[in-house]
Amino acid sequence: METETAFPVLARADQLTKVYGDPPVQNTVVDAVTVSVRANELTLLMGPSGSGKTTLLMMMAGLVDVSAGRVELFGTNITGRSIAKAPGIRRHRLGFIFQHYNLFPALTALENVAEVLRLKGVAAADAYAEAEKTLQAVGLGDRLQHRPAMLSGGQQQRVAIARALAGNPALIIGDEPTAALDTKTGQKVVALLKQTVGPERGVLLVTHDPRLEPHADRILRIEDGRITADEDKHA
Amino acid sequence: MRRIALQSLIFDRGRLFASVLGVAIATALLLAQIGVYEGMKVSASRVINHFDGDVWVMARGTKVIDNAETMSAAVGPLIMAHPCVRDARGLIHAMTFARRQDGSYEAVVLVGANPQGAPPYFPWRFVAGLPGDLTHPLGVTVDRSDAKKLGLPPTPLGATFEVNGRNAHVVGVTGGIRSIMVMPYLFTSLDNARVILNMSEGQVSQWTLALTNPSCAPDVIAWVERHPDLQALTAADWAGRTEQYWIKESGAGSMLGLTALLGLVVGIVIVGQTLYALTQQHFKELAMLRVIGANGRELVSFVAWQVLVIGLAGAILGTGIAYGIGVLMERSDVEMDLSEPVLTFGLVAIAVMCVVAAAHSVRAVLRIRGTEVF
Repeated sequence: METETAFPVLARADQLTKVYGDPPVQNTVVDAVTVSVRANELTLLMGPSGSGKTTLLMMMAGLVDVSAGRVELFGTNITGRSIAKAPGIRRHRLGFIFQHYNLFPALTALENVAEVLRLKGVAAADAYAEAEKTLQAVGLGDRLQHRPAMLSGGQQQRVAIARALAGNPALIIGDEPTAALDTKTGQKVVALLKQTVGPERGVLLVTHDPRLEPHADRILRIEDGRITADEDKHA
Repeated sequence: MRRIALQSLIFDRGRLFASVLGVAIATALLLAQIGVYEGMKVSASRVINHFDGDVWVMARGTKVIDNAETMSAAVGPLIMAHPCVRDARGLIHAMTFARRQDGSYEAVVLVGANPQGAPPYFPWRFVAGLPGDLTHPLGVTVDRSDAKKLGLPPTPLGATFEVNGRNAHVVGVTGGIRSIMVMPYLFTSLDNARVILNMSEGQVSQWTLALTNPSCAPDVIAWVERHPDLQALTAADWAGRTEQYWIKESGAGSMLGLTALLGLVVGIVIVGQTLYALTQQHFKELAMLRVIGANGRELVSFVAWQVLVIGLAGAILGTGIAYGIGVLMERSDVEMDLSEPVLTFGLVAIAVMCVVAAAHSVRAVLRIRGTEVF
């Protein structure tokens, strides 16, 4: 089902399964899924509500223990490592974007990006310089000192994207990043994410919004916990 | 994390104000109660601690300096017979009445002792006159804070008023010597006290013994207590017993302790609620930090920085309020001791209160899972 490319595999799921509950009342949310996420691609993980796409995303990010199968991030097997045990990879090599932005309301756009960089171990002066550069790159150079309440939804999501990009992580993971935005703003946000894709970086977005499909390099369709299609647009 | 925590705290000014006020009220209440407690102890044993002596002798069964029976003149030579006793000084400590110019009466504590004009002074804290002046016939001291209470002019030196039917003359003024019973202290010589109280020559209510060697104290006490009518205690034990009598047996200590505890509970509830509300408010953002790899220690520091600032600001404000209460109490004759040990104890208790108040929020942030942000 997978197509080989010259770009490195950033995340790999092999026969990944997630079962909630104990026998006899069990619910298999993700059922023996095998997929890879590569650099230089914007990959969409699409499916209806309850299809298991967010659970699969969380397992691939090392946020949820797996019931069976194996997860590799950047060639490292993280299966069995809980959220507390795999923070290093997430801190330095993953960037996250969420549906509701999750910006600190008391901090300015610049501080929201820079303080997360500081948590990643970057010195204050360097963190603020990089945060400014990243915010300029997402078109918010004139909104550095604005707090989230002073920004539109699209601008807030761009701050969140800058926060995810800061520190130059190899894989950006997004959970419904356009769900709270209108169509036009959503398209702009995905176009911006598409621009961040490169030979060393990939983007994996969970969405059920078909309007994002034109931006994708690859679409994984999931239904009832199983991958039903893996569409490589360049194949 | 410090910047995130502090800016989030400052951003929500209403909650910040409420929590700082909560700590300030708890601090002020606690310090005021401990201060009054300590002030009561100091007041209760004030005369004992200022009267030079290693061992005190009094009538058997005496519980407190303020309520001592008169001892016969024969006791002095008896206790001086022990080889360890270098000197024995008599003291009269009795309650009596003074009559104001308007004819009304005021209960007073008359303390008779031969004045000591060199350190340790007795009486002490003279603001007018000298200890030696107390030997003048019927010469007494009045504390300047009691002048109004006794119907005397604000500068009472030279005034005359009636004490137990005798015309006493104010030959000295002290500044800030108060009794635990809030009765004016009148100091005078032993002879004057006997005259005023109609006591016989040689009679006293207590003896203080200066020993050749303080290590003799147990021997001397045992020797005195062979006499069926006498009891003896070291100065420290006598001071402690007097303090206990007033603080514990009067129930004042329990009441003050209960109020202090109430202050701490109020503080814990207010600060705990505020911190938890702040944590709840930032639950999603903290979960986001968890997702990007923040560990438990880093998330706890979000709460720790906030409680540190709330605690410090509240403690400083509360200490200021406590000093203000102290000034007001001073005016209403209640002594409040805000010495260094009291402040240290109070502020350590406030720090513990803040830690307890933060516990619920710390537990909450440690339970945050990254999955909650999706």
